[in-house]
Amino acid sequence: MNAAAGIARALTFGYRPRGGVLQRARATTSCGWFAALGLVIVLYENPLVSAVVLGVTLIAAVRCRVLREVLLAVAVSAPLAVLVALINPIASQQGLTVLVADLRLPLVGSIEITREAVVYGLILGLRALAMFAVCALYVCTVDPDQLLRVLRRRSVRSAITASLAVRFVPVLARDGARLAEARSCRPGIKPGAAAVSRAVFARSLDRAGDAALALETRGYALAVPLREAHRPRRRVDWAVSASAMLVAVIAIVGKSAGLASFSDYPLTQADLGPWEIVLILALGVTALAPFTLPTARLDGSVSAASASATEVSAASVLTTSASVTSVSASAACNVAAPSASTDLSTGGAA
Amino acid sequence: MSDPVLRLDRFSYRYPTEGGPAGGLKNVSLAIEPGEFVLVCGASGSGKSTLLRAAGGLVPHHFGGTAAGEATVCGRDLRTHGPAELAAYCGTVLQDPETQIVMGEVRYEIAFPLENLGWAPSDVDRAVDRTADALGIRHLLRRRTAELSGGELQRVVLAAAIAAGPALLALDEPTSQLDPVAAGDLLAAAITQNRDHDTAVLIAEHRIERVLPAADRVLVFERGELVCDAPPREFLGWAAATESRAWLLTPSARLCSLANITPLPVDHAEAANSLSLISEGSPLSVTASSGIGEATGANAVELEFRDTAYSFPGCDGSALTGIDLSLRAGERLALMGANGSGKSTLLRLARGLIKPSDGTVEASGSVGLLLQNPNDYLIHERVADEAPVGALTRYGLESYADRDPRDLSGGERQRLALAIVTQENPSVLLLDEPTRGMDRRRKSELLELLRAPSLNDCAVVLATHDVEFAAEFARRVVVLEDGRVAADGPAVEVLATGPLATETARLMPGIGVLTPAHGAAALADAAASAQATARRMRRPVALSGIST
Repeated sequence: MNAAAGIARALTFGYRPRGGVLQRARATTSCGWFAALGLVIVLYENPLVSAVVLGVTLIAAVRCRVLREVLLAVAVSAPLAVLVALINPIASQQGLTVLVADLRLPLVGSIEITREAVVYGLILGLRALAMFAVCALYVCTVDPDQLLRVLRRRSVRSAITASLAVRFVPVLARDGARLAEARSCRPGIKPGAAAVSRAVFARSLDRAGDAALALETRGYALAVPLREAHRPRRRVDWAVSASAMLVAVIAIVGKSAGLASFSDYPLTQADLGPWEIVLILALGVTALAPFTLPTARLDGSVSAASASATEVSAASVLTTSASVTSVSASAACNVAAPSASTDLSTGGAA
Repeated sequence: MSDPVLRLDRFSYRYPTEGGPAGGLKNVSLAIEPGEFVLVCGASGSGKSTLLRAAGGLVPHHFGGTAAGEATVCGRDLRTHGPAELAAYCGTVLQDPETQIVMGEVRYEIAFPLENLGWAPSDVDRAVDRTADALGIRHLLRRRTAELSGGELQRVVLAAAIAAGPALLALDEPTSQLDPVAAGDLLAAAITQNRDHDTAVLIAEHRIERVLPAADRVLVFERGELVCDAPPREFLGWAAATESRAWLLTPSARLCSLANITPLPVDHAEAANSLSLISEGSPLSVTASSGIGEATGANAVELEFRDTAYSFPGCDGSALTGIDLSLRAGERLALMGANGSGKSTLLRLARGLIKPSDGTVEASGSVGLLLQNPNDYLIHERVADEAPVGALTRYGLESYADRDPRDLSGGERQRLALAIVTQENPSVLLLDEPTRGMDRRRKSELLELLRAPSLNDCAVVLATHDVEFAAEFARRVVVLEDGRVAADGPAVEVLATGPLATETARLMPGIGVLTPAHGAAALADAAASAQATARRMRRPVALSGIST
């Protein structure tokens, strides 16, 4: 199999209803949990926080039985993270510790590579990787149909457009794989990338036309807002909601308190004191608390005895997390509290 | 009598641009009554898809263009009612199931049209369950659409089309992308819907023999004109009367037509009855085959599999195991077997797209592979950029050199794809399901291409489900089952009995005839023999209706 076809096939992952907590919770609730994790990545540059988010994501992937898919997506997106890590030292001329002076590159000219720029590039790469992993877990565990049904109550056309966009990713990936295979079957000089891209684009337009035809025949143009029966919240919904809210609150409070702060230039500095450890533990435990609920069997059933036992433990973990939040909040009030500072730059200043 | 579900009165339609779809309609008048099952036939671009699109309001509302005359669907005027308004009255199923699915879960997909019509949630749930039960797909309701096979997807599309209980069901070549088993299931579901729920069915279908016994009427279109509107038996007589329309006949009708047996049979049972006289008369003989692609032991081995195995990465079990096959120059081989038996994997191994997990695959020269969809090969904006002039000339495409490949007809695109893969004269040519979605006329054209003198020295392997085409094409048949070679022998043996038997072989078992032409020749020989015997015995011949 050629590389293009392989990549196209690798991209055909999507929602996997495998009985995990995130799959069983309401789609909107799970979205809230992912939004909370995304908020943590956006708020904190500290690499330890990014590493915790990555760890939480992978553990959640294990509990939701989608680790293979998430790792595959991370592997596919890793080159982009590496690219970010490589570009930063070239693009950023800040930092005090010069590793390579007067490096001449075509188009760019003479530059200096600093240790701080290299470290910050790696941190950016790690954050990108954590975000990719969160997105991959989202795709594998949030039912797009459920989400779009919520959206269809407000905007029918936007929802269906989004639905088709999600639905057609694997279809177009398969088209791309077939085109790549056909290209490799051609004798002689293979068509260039531009010609193949044009063909792929033309094919996607054909697909869009066919889909429009099918939508017309299903009465799409009537655009009647969805009428849906009310579905009561279950315990899994409450657990995931509580986790999402607590993660968001801890992240905001910690940020307001100046915990896990990070300085990129002129010297790389990341806080790692007791409060940072508390913050990281609080984030990790709170985010993972719902996953102490049992994973359903693939037929959707959950053992009643184990469910009640683990739901109690999940509730107690969330209660503990709430108390940690209050500790974080008190830490936020005590802004003068000393915080150990770990200097990541081990070399001397330039 | 109730009003027609579809009525056209001198209705004409023309697509807006030259680049648009081929085949408008010219002055068509017809009426489809409730509960009727109507088969629509015609060559590609003849107008049958346009008729089905008109039934769903897609023509003229979605495609634009100009229309004249009167057209109503369940009493609603086509000029003032678009596809959305007609969705409650006409369910539509198109060719490719992949592009008709909108939702990620089967239940939501079936519910989607009902929700668009504003049904209450409880009514939607009831209709979804009822429809799923009717089509036997209740077990699929919680499945993801991305995980379904093509056949299952198309049944879900059919369920979505009939969930609202439309009076008319328009099916535009719904089985063209399906394997024979899935196609049979889908057509059976459509027939059941017609019989049990009195839904009028308007279906365009290439596998006429599967639908004809259930049809009340057959419509035939040529260049946009309705040239035949008759019950099945009259349609067969009409098609048999003109050689240029004989491709419309089913294999059994073709056999009887060639043998001058009348009336032409509508189904297998009738054909068997018509031929029963022969089996009681003189023994049948086999005429010589056309002899194309006859391999001899002296020809060089061009492709050889030695104890070859292949496993897909990350999958348990083998896709292919212990394959020992050799292919000689000039040989014509049909590779058959159920979906997932390993046919496509074998071809990809032969072409070198994948490497065997075990054993070897050796080719003495170059290997060309034509994948299922010829459109996948069309990359450039000019035909001349796709293949050298010599290759285009060989396939009669030199006059299209400056045209965009996407503007070519289906048959021309396939010729162009063949020109691309054979431009360096491969010693082995592999074709993966080349007849999928083709009508019989296009299959005949493909057969002629494969019989071209330029391919005489080339070994040709054809992976197919189409037993009739395999019988016309191949001298040797290899059957794969669960990744292993289950049978490897002459076509006259492998395609004569069992599930892979051709229609002719099933009608005339035990004498090694596979095609209508050979069957008719055997019947003629039998009739001549019977007459000779009768002359000697001075008795009248019992084979009335068969000419010698």
